Amino acid sequence: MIWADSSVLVALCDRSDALAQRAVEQLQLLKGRKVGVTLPVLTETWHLLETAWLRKILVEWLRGGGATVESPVEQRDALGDVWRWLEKYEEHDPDFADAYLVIATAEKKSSIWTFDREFAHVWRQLDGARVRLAFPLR
Amino acid sequence: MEMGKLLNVRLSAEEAAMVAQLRQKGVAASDVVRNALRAEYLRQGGGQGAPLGPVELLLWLRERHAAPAAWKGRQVHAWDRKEVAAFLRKRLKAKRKRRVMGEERGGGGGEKCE
Repeated sequence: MIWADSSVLVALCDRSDALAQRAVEQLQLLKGRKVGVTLPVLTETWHLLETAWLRKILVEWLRGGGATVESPVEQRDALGDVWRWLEKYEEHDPDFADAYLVIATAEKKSSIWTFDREFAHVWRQLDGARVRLAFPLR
Repeated sequence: MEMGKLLNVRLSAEEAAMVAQLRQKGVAASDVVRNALRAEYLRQGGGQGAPLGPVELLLWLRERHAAPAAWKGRQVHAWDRKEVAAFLRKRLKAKRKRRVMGEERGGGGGEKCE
């Protein structure tokens, strides 16, 4: 599973975004791979899109099967790991959505699709391993 | 447009109330049905076979929902976590303020539905 974060979803929906073209190119490269959206990321994206017409693009894309909305952390009963991760990185004042994404990718065969460099340079898994990314961050 | 077949749709009480409210706002249920039908037809590949894939669907939706003329662009860079956090704090604070003010006025919330 590829977990999309809000920076990617915003770029996919808003073609005026500076990363819109890159987001579509990467989506093309993911053909056949399953893309998932977590509820914390969906909430964050909803705010960031700001307007009803951009949100319509997101909702219709999700409804049309562009990606699935899932709750991987709850499914694995791993919310405790999210709290531990947030404590570990407390000094960086991390977002809940980012903590949730990192713990969601603790499972093998999953990775994060993001444009946020902190996933490459700051955040690690609880065991110190690098966070798996769907695409390298430039 | 030449009109042909008539489509009968049985509505629940809730849906019938929606139709009545839309009619009051000048929206005809028949237009809603036609638009939804065309949208779904296109999404399913426009009669060409397979439904649209994630990329094609996204590009089609971007075309379909064009930016309003007055659109000045979003205010925040979504890849910058600190900028996002500041934006969300400001937005949620304003939302909370609207809600509290609405309650003080006895408006039962007074929050605009988004």
